[in-house]
Amino acid sequence: MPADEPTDEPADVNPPLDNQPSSPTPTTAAATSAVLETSSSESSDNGIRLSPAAARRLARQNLRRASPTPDLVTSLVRPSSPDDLYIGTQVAQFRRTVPLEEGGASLQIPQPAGLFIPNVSSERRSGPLLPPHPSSLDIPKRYGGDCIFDMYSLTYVEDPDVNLLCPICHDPLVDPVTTPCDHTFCYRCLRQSIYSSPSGTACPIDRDHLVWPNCFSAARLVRTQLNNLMVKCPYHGRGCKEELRREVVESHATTECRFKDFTCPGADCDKTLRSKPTDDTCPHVEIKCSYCQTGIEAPDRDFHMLSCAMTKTRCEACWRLVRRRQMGSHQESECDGIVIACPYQEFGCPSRSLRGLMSTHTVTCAFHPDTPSGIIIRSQRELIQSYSDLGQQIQQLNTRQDETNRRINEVTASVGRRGGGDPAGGDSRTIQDLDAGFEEVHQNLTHLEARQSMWTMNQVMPIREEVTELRNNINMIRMHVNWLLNRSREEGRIRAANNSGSSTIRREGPGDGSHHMLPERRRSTSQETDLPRL
Amino acid sequence: MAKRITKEFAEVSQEPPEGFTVALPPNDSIHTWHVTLRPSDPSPYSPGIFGLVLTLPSDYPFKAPVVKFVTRIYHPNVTNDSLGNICLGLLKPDAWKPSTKLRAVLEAVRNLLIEPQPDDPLEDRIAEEFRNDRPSFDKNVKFHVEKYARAEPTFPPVVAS
Repeated sequence: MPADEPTDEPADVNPPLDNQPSSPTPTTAAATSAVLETSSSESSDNGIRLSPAAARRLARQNLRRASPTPDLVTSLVRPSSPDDLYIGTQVAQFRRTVPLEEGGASLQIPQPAGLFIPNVSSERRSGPLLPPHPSSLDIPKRYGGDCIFDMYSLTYVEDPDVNLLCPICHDPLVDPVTTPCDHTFCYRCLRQSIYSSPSGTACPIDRDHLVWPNCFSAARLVRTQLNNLMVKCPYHGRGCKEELRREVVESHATTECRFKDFTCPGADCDKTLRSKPTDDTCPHVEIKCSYCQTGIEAPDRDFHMLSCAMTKTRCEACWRLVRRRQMGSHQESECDGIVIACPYQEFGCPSRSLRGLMSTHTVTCAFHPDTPSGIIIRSQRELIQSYSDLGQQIQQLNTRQDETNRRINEVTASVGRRGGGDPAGGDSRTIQDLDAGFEEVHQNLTHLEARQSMWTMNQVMPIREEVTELRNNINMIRMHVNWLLNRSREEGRIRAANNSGSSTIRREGPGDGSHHMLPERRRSTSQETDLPRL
Repeated sequence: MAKRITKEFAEVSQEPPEGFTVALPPNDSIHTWHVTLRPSDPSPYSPGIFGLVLTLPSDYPFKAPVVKFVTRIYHPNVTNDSLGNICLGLLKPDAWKPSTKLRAVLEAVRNLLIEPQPDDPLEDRIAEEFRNDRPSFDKNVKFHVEKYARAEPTFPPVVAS
């Protein structure tokens, strides 16, 4: 094997130091030197695993050096996990397509993210799917497909080994892809076969069930053999006698071959034409793209079609023609070749599968809310939800309690500061003080009471004595009066009894007239006054 | 995929399977082949010359080719009329494999003439006869061969597809 320069497999770069081809083209030389710069010692068997950043740097370097030739060294990185399957990226495809355009790298999409399809079926072997050559995408002519360098229409110098032929197109394999059932086809042939297979997806040889994401790029040995097949320059019809290895024919035909262009028949036009001019008029006039209405030069129409947002390109996941502008929404919402999660993922279903196969899964999904298991799961989830709600409530309460505690502590601290120490002690002391005061007041009150009663007594006693004295005096006077009364009554009776007439009385009368009347009156009063005494 | 058809035609016309000759119709349509079959000895159809038209759909090899007998033939798996449709398991849409070569299709047709498949018939009556009354079947075959399949077949003009 003379040379093994995997310029289309940059993730698997191995140092081609000792087997460098005798006449390397500038592109491959640049790529090789870049490879040598970046990675000096790695095993040629496994391929190195560059860090994604390093690989991106490498790819960018190569793009710059190789521009405007189609960049065969793309930013492909072997996925870190063997379960991840690399399905080529729009990005990689742009990188390879766009530099064909005049001015080279006019459209560089910086993000190198590929579309990683996880393991879809368990029995597949794992391996990356290298991004295909643009011609493998089979973009129709009306979308500019005929200006892509066609790897499928190459003329081989000699009949290649029959084992290197694609069973479908019977030509040497291009972008060989191996199925899980271990058959190898061209990328384009297999995609077309899957797409047009009436019974869904079946291997074109043994009709085994086949899902595109389970296919992977063929062994490097096969790819190397294919790359080393000698082909004629596609412009051999125009006179080019070059015979090159298939790997480098694209760069020859697009950059070096002096038969690739025709001079413009316009008198004062020094531009070139890719196809033979049909008449003597210069076709370099501005036309409008029929899709996006931007002005372009007529001969560049096909190149424009390959990047125009309104034209269609293949979705690499499902092989349908989709407008470039809508590719994002297509892959997000309708592409059958994209792996999506089960719609009952939120109920816990862990399965992921292609969107096209998801409907068969959802019918039998144990997490479907209407199945018995689904109902149990749903009720469990509700329980869990309520538990978590409760937990949240508890947490809220805890925080509130903490807050309250904190504030209580603050208040007590301030009270303590104000009370100068132990607040409880202060309280009891106050109460003791109060008690003592109360006691004092009480004693004073008792004392006062005693004094008042003493004073009252002292005041009352002489009064009482006086009253008693007066009462005695009154009694003495009454006795005197009674004695006097009794004497006067006795006198009267004696007089009445001794007296014969009233002369005496009349005699005594003038002096005792008033006195005479008095005893009667006195009698009546004495009777009155005597009554209480009786 | 015209390239594959060209290749297969070159292969088959250079090294035709036993008993076959292949030609393209005069208008050079590569999607229609004119095939002449001269069954060899073990076949009851042996002395006859049968014309077949092989039509390749535009998305061949992803769709199966269509093979029809131009010459009337008395066979359980071929309609006994001017259409000459063949029931060939290989060509059924759900059994067709893009990797199948046209040479294999032609060989399958030849085998069908050697060994009819009465279990999957297009003509029930002939299949019944083939199973139950072999001498009568052979006689009818001979009769049809003598009547229709002795001269070089005439192919109908190709309809542009």
